[in-house]
Amino acid sequence: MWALLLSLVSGSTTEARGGEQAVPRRIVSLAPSVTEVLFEAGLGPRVVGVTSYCRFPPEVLALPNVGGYLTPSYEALVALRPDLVVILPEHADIEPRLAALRIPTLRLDHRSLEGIVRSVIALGERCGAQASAAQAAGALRQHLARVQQMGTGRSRPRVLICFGRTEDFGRLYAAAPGTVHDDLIRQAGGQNALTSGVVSYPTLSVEGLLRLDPDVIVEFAAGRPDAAALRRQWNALDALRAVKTGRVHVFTDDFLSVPGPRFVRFAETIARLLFQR
Amino acid sequence: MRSRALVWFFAGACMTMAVAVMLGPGGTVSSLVPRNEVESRIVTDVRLPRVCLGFLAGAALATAGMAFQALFRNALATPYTLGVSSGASLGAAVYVHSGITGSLAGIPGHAFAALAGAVGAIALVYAIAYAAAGFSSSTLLLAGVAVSFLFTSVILAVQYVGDVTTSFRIGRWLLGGLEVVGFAPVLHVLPFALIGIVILLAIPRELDLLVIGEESAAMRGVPVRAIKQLIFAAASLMVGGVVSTCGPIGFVGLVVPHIGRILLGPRHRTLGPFSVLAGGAFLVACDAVGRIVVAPIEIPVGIITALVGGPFFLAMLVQGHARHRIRG
Repeated sequence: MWALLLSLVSGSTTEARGGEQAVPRRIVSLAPSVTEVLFEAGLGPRVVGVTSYCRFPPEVLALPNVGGYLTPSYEALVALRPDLVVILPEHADIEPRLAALRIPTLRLDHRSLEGIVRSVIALGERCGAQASAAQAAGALRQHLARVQQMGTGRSRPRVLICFGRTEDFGRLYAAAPGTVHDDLIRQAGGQNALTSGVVSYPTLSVEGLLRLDPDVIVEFAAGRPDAAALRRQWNALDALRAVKTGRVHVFTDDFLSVPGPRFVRFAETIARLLFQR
Repeated sequence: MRSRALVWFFAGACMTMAVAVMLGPGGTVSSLVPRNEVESRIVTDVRLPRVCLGFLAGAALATAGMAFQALFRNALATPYTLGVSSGASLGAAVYVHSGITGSLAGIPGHAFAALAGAVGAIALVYAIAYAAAGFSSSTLLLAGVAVSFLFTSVILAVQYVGDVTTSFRIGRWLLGGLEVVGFAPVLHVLPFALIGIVILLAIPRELDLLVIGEESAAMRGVPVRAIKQLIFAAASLMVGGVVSTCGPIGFVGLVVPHIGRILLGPRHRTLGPFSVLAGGAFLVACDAVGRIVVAPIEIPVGIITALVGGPFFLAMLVQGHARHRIRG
């Protein structure tokens, strides 16, 4: 009965979701990867607000800020008068509140490289920019096709992508099957050294690393200053095959924590490491 | 004298709410009467519901904290001591992990899952305390703490095995907050808060006597067991209702009743209304600070309650008020 009363109270707010959708002119992005996809689809000029985590492309730094990635300010959102807010599955709890504010939303899924490419097309369709979006998505698909060709007919090396490593290797996180990083490995022609996907990003100890003994180790250390110093630390684990064969690679680029178009293109870098030695 | 102080606290609470509704990003002050459509939507859809929810949640948490401190005769008891918060958090975590998304009347589905978790925790603690030693306060306390630890471990396990999306959503839930849109969430909390507060404010004499001791209360005609069960049920359900919508917001339930004891003494006839007014006003003020200080980035209110309430509470203790402990 209480739920019925609640639904009566908010009835006027939910019905706004139906009906014909106008072409959005004032778009707000609630995630850095969404912002990148919006610009990739040629919709940059329509973006009127981004989160405090959005840093790319550089022009977004001048745009109004609507707060954190998971903690947007609803006041700031309403003040921008958006006609579309683009979100990710992480924003499932925010979505009903945006509906209550009668702000239309579009949910994208960036948990795979194909999902990122599809989101470019979905944005183009929703925003009446099918041509520019299809062109951008086509370019990304061609890129992935070239990457896949690099590994054709070759054996698939066992690759470990890791992050958040302590200096003494006491603990590090690795990407398991089912994650966007696992997809990056597979698209680049490798196979994940981790085979169990029970935990998406499990912690590993040195013992765990030695047992896995991957052919190639890729460390993502987004935002860290000195990739060479981080690479040298791996020499302490010279029992690992990847260390012995010089196949440990450290990357510190910021975009590695943003599963957007740059992340898709990064598959080529990984494929070169695996197959062009 | 004390009733006059309560009138001042009532005026202060009303003033705090009005100022919170007027305060915008970066400390800008807007009129209570909106001048355009955007301002009108901000005030009516966002700020006013948020301030109302903040007052209800703060009042409920402070009153529950006061009641638990009396029930357990323990200055460290909080609304979350009996595992209600961890039960609600576990309900929300399992819901998020299950991958279900949905909402009813503008309230996210996890709020209903959290309410189910809170009720489950209350039932479990009650059953353990009842079975173990006939509802003794110490068994109730131990059962609550143990259930709380158990549920917290399960939450961590759910978060660990989840993907990035699950992990982020659970993490955000555990931060707590008052970011709501529209009055539906306020109406969701209202019956829990109102019924709980009315029950707890109606038994000041019993709470006073419980603080002195259960035997002494029984000698003066208090049906101790029934009153304990009433306090447990009223306060727990009230906290469950609040936590299911706002997440676990800490410190209000601990600090506000103690400040009341320092300012007005330990009698629950005045301490109860003080907890309602000051708890509500304190949470509204903390939320306003979190909302405007680095706008549009919002600091979750639980961080502000600890940052503001902690030093204030410690300063009061250091200034010689330490003698006012739970028994006055």
